Amino acid sequence: MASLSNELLNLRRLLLTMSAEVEQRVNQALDGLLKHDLRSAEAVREGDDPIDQLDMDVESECATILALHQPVASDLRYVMAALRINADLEKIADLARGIAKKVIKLEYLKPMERPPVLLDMASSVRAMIADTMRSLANGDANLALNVRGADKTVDRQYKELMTWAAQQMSIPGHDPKALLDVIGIVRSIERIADLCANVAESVIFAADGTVVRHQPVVRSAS
Amino acid sequence: MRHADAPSLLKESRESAALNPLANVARLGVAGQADSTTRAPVALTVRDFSAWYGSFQAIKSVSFEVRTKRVTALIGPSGCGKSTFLRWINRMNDMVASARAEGTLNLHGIDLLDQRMDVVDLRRRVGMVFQKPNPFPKSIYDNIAFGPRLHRSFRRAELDRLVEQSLRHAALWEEVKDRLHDSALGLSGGQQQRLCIARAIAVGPEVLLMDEPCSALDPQATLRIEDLIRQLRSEYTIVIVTHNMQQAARISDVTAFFYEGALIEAGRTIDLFTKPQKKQTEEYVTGRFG
Repeated sequence: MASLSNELLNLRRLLLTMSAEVEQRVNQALDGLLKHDLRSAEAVREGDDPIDQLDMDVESECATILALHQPVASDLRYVMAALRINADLEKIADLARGIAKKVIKLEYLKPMERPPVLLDMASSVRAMIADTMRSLANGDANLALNVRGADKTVDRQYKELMTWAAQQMSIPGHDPKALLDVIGIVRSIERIADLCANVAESVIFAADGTVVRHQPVVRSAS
Repeated sequence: MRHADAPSLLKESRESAALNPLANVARLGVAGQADSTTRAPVALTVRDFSAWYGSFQAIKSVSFEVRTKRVTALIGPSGCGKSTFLRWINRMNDMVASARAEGTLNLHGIDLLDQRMDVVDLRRRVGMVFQKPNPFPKSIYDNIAFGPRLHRSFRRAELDRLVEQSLRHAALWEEVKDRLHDSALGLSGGQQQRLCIARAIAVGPEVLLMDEPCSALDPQATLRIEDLIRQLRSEYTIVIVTHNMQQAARISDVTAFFYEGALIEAGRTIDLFTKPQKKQTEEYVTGRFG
C-alpha cells in the first residue's frame, strides 16, 4: 500500500493532467468557433476517451485514499474537492465537445457572422479557464475568488447574446437551424463559465476550508 | 469551546475580514460557532493548569473547559501530558510523591486541587476506566457491587437492581445475566472492559475518565465500546485519552490536542478534523508528525 502522501501526489498529478486536457479542448473548440479552425474542432469532436479515463482514475484514486487512509483536515478537503472538480472538469469537456460538433455543423450549413460580443464572451471564458486551472495547480484561493467574479461578466455577455439572438429571429431570411446552433454554443460557453466557477469554489474549499458555494461573490482586493 | 488563544484568534479573523474577502464568507465549522456542543454547561473548568513530576513540567499552563454530557477526546503524541491531565482530574497523581500541580481544576465548582478534598468521594463522582481491563478477581456481581458497598449499605434487592442497571448501561447484561456469580476473569477482554465501565458507573459518577480504553481490544470489541461511549454520553461527561485519531473523530464531540505539555488547540471534533486552526494540529492529525 502506498503512503498517503504518495497517493495524494498521484491524485494531484491525475487532476492536473485532466485539467490541462480539458483546458486544451475548450481552447480548441473556441478556436473552431472564432477562427473557423475546423481541424481543431474536429480534434475535440473525435471523442473524449482520455478524459473519461482520467475521470475514472481520479475517482478511483479518491476512493482508495478514503478507504485506506481516512484522510483528515487539508488532506480530506483536497480529496473532497478533487471529487467535485473531477465531475466539473468532465462536464466541461463534454460541453467543449458539444461546441465543436455544432461549430462543424455550422460551417457546413452556412458560415455566419459571429456577433462581436460572442468574441468577447469566448475571450472571457478562455481567461477564466486559464485562471481556474492556474488556481487549481497552485491552490491559489485568491485567484479562484477572481474566477467567481469573472463568471458574472460572462453572465452579462450571455444575456446580451440572447438579446442579439432574439433580434436575429425577427430578421427575415435568417437560418433558424444555424441560429439554434449558435444559441446552443452560447449556452454551452456560459455553462463552462459556471463550471469554472464551481471548480474555483472547490479550490477555495481545499485551500482553507472556506465554503463559498451559494454565497454572494465578493471581489478580491488583489 | 476554544482554548485560551481563542479571543486572539477571533480578533485576528475580524481584522483579516477587512483585508481578505475570503474571511467574509461562510466557513466550514466556524471556530467558536454556537452549537449543541458549545452550549452545554461547563462540567470542568481548567485555567492556567500546570503539573510537574519533580522538576519536569508535564503540563504547561493549560486552559479549557469540558462540557457536561459531551465526549471530550484528548489526543497527542506519547508524553504530551494528556494522561497526566486525566489523572489529575480524579487525583490519581496523589500516589506519585513527586507530582504537583498549580492553577485551577474545578469540577462543578469544586476545587480538585484542594488538599483537604475527600478523594474517595471525588472518585465516586469521577470514575476511571484504564487501558487494560482490570476486573477484581471476584464474581461479575461482586465487581459491580464493590464500589456502591464502599459508600453505603444496601438491601439485597436494591443491590441486585443496581447491578442489573449498571450492567445494562454497559451493554453487558444480556451476555452475563445467567452467570453473575461466575468469576469476572472468565470474561473476554471486551466484556471485561465493559464490566469495568459498569463498575465505574455503578457508583453514579458525573464524569467518566477513560485512558485508552480500547487499546487492548480487538476491532469488534472496540466497536462495542465505542457504541457504548456514544450511549453513555447522554448521562455522563466523558473524557477519553486515545492514540487512535479515527476513534477520537468517531466518538467525541470535542477534541483537545496536546503537544509537549501544552494545549495546542481544543474545539469541536468536526472542526479539528476538517479545518484545524493551528499548523501543529494540522500536521499531527494528518500524520505528518508525532
